[in-house]
Formats: sequence, C-alpha cells, structure tokens
Amino acid sequence: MTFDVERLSNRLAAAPACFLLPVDARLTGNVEVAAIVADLFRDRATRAAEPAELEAVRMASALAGDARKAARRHLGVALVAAWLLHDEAFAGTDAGKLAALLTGRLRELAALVVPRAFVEDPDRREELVRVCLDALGLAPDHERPADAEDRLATLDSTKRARLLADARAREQTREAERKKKLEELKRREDEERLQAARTTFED
Amino acid sequence: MQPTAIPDDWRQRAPLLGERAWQGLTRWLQHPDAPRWNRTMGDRVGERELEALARFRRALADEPLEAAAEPSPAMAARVDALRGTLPLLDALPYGFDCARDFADLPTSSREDVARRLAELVPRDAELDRAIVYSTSGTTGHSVVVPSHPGAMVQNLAHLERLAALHGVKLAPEAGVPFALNAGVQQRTYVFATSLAGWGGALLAKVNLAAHDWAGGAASRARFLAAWAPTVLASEPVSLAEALRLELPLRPKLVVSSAVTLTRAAASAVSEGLGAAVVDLYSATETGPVAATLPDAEGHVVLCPDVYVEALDADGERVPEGARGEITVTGGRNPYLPLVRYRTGDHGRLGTTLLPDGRRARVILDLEGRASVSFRALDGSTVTSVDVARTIRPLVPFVQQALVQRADLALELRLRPLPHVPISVEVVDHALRELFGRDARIEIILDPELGNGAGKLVAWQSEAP
Repeated sequence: MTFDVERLSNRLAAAPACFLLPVDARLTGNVEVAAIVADLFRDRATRAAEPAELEAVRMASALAGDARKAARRHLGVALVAAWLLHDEAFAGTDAGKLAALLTGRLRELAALVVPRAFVEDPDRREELVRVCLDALGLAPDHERPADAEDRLATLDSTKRARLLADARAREQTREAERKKKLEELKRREDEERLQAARTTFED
Repeated sequence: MQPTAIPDDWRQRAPLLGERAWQGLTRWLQHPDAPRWNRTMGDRVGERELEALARFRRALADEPLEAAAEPSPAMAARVDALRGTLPLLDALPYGFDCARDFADLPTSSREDVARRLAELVPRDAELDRAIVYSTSGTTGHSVVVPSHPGAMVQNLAHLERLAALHGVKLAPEAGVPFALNAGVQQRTYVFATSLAGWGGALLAKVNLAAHDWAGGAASRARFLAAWAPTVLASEPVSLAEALRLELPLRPKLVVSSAVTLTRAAASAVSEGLGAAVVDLYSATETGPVAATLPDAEGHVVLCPDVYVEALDADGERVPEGARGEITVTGGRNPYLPLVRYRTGDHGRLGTTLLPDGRRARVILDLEGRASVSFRALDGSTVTSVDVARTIRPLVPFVQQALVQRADLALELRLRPLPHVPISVEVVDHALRELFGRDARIEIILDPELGNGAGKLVAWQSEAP
C-alpha cells in the first residue's frame, strides 16, 4: 500500500455512510468519535492515544451555542479522516503528528468546510488526503516535494480563507482611508466657503 | 365638500393619500374633543407596497404553512439566498446546505440586534426606505430595529386574516375612522393618519390617560364614542384600564399584544367591549408571529413565510412538544431577514388544523412577556414602558433591570456599554420625575447584568 493520492481520494469517496453520522456525544444515537479515534491510534499509530488526547475530543461535545456547532463539525471531519487514515498505508503513523493533525489542522479545516464535502466533493477529497499526508510528514507517490506542495496550496481551504480575509481587511482599510480623505476635502471646502462668505460680508 | 389641496409634506409621508381620506383626516385632526396630537405620521406606502400587500393576502389564504418540525425546502432556500449578503451567514463553511444543515445555522438574538445590528442587515439592502423603531421591549435590551413600509403594511393582511378567523368582517372606508391604537402611559406618540392598505381608512393612536386630552376625561369619552373604531389595538394593562373607566368603546375586534393577555383577561375584555379578542404574539423585530384563534389552544402561526422552532439554552432544537425558546426564521422585513432569531420567549410547539384544512404550527403555553406596572409615591401607575422611554435617551446602556420592593423602594441595575461612562445622577433625577421627588432609589452599574443563568428579569414589581 502506498500514498497514491487518487487511490486515497477514492477511498474517501467510498466512505461508508456511518462515517457521516451525527457526532454529538451529548445526543443519543450519535457516534462516539473519541472511541473511533482510540481505535485509529491502536490500529495505525506508533502508540495508543493518551487520555488527554481523547479527552480533547470528548470535551468538544461539552461546548455550547455556536462553539458547539463548530466543535461538532470538527468531530465530523475527524470521523471522516479516521476512515481515510485507517487505510493500511498509514500503518506506523507517528502518534504525536496524528494527534496534532486531528486536533489542530482538522479543526481549522472544519471551520471552513462541512465534513460531508470531504466525501462528496472531488477537490475537497483530494485536499483532505493532501492535508493528512502533509501533517503526518508523508510524501504522495510519484510527486516531487515542490509539486506536492504546490498542489496542496492550490486546494488549501485554510490558506484561501486567510487570503480572502486579508484582502477584505485591506479593502476595508482602503475604504476607511478614502472616506477620511473625502471628509477632509469636504471640511476644507466648507472652510473655504465660510471664509469666502466672511470676506464678502466684511467687504 | 370643496376639494382641498393635500399639503406636500403629507403627500411625502402618505404618497397614496386621496382627497376623501385627506378631508376625513383633517376633520378628525381638528375635532373639538381630539387628544393632544403630538406627532404627524404617514404610512409611506406606495403602489409597490400595495402590490406586496395583495400578494401577502393571497399567500395567507392559499400557501401551505410551515407546520412541520423541519423547515420547508422553500424556507431553507430563502435562507440560502441570503448567503453572500447577510454578514451573519458569512462564516458558513464550504458545502453547508441550508436545508440539510438548518439546525447548524447560527442563531441570533435581541442582544445581537442591540449590539451587532450590522451583522443582521443584508449588505445590499437599500436603506433609503428604512423606518427606524426604537423599542424598549420587555426583555431588558433596548434596541433600534430597522423596518420597511412594505413590511409594516403587510401586517394589515395578517390582521384581516385574524378578523376573518374570528368571524369579524372588516369594511374600511376612505376618510372614515376605522382603527384605534390605545395605551395608558405617562407619555406616548399621539397621532391620526390614513392607511393606504385599508383604502384610506383612518387610524388614531391615543393615550387613554386623561392628561393627554385638552378637555380631560369628558373629551376623551366623546372622542372615543365618535371615533367608534372597528379594530382596537392595545395591550392588557390599557384594556383593563379601558374597562375600569367604562370608556365608550364598542369595537368588533380587539387585538392585544406586547405582553400576554391571560385567558381571564381576554374573557373580561370580550364581555366588557362586546368584541372578538385576539392575543397577538408579535415583536418589533419579528412582526406578527402567532395569535389566538377561536376554539384553538395556544397561539397559531398563520404567516406562510414564518418558521418557528423551540431551542434549548445551548441553541439545540428541543423535542416536539417540549418547552423551549421560541425562535423565528423568515418574515417580511427586508432590513432584518430573520435567521433563527431567538425571541427570549418560551413555549411548546405543536401542530393544529385550521378551518380551511391547512396544518399550522401552534405555540402552547407561551410565556416570557410579563406585564409590569410600578407605583409612584402619589399612588399613580408607572409602566415599564414609561421607565424605559425615560431613561433610554438619557444614558447609553445595554440592559436594565428594575425592581420595586413592597415599600416602593426602587433598585435599578444598568449594564453599561464597555468603556462608556453613565451619569447615575441624570438617571436618578429622571426616575424621581416619574416616581416622586422623595422616592427611595438605588442605581447600580453592573457590567455583568444579564450574564447569569436564565433570562434576565428586566422589570419586577412587588408594590401593592
């Protein structure tokens, strides 16, 4: 088994429906993601998951309001990723890197993309595969590192969102400056008019 | 009757005001027993708004209602159409499907309206037609709510529907008094106008307190008898006062809103005034949400473009029939398209069957809007609206909670805006104007007000 991006993407496309089930551990009938993550560590990582790592997953369901919705999406993405990472190619994965991927990169990604899209959308499937390989320090088959990096950059939702946010912030700054200039011009015009009126009166 | 030129300012504020309506209106504005008019108001309704009214009348009569626990595909599509323009929805992730993921949509609340209004108004909304409401509400937040003449006039269609379901036939005529909005307050807007949505029929908003009538109680009685409204809009405290004063009002339909009208109070009003009585559940932010119908339990949602859910404290939908916070999506206000707006009111949801066979959502055991009257030192009544209206323009604050003890001592807590100072002396002075110079008043600035568990009790009176 190797890290062929197309094969791994196809694995995501074929994810069993149960990997898209609701994941809120506080609601009955939902998937207990912490248990799936524990299995993933046991089956594929260099060591078992540490209690703190599983607790981080469990705690997500204890949040409230919009944070809970975000946490739920994060767990949903972690569940989809668990299906992907159960592929035999990932045997012997570095446990520390796996924990970082599940709690860090996937949380960022879940803020921008719904879990289902990583199964249903071809680009997002490829993105998840490449994000996982990148985070675990693994290279895709038949690709030079620079090409792999470039391809990931093209698909990277997190990066795109950051660029958009930066562009929006720059636009807002420009708009504020434009407004300030206009106000300054108007103030000067008013002053000149007032001065002209005073002059006329004094004349 | 000689035709009179309608003044330009009236043409602006009531574009469809006709000659007949104008002549009727001026006659009543100059009535010898008229109240002290203190505002000039028009409905700003033009042809486009009338077309919207006609469409909404048809929708109320024909379209299926949001009767299920899940929103209809049409409602989900409506929310979806707001993506890209409504800042509240900016953070929805890629692949988010408003129909499938509705329960994961962010919720909004009165606090958001108070503090982050811009997130709830579509970026492409043309604000030149905005009407701005400043509302004290009963939940403690004072808020500014933008609305549109088209949204306001469509409320008439909802009223017509209510009248029909209560067996009342409405026949408004141009220039003839038709509706009365009556309150009992220290100060309020008092005006008369014509309603284009009702063919130029007249509406007066009056203060039943005798001090707002130049000729006192005698003028009030003569004017009300002569105005003889078909529809009386009011709230429980004022209706009780109208009964106590035995005011000569014989409307066909009484619509009570703002706070809950108990069943006993509704019976008393119905008997006392000889009218069909509706308890309307409505808020400035939402417009009409639900109303009581004859032979039906609870408050029924009649608008096909309003979807109601009940949520728990975490924002999760509660099981069907369980108590939760009433949360509204939809409505007709282009400046405030509601997406899961948490009203702060609570109830249980069920379904009911309308006489025309359509299924509708019903809110059972609606609660949360309590009517509160305080007592001044001289024994007169001061309402929560009076207090809110008095202190709100004076100082900036986010929320208030006023408690009056049995010995009439007052404790007012204010949650200031971050980094904005509040002059306690100014508020103290204003409260003394309302409650009496020697009233015992304590004012506390509490930045944590409203942060505790459960809903803030904004108004509480233990006064006898």
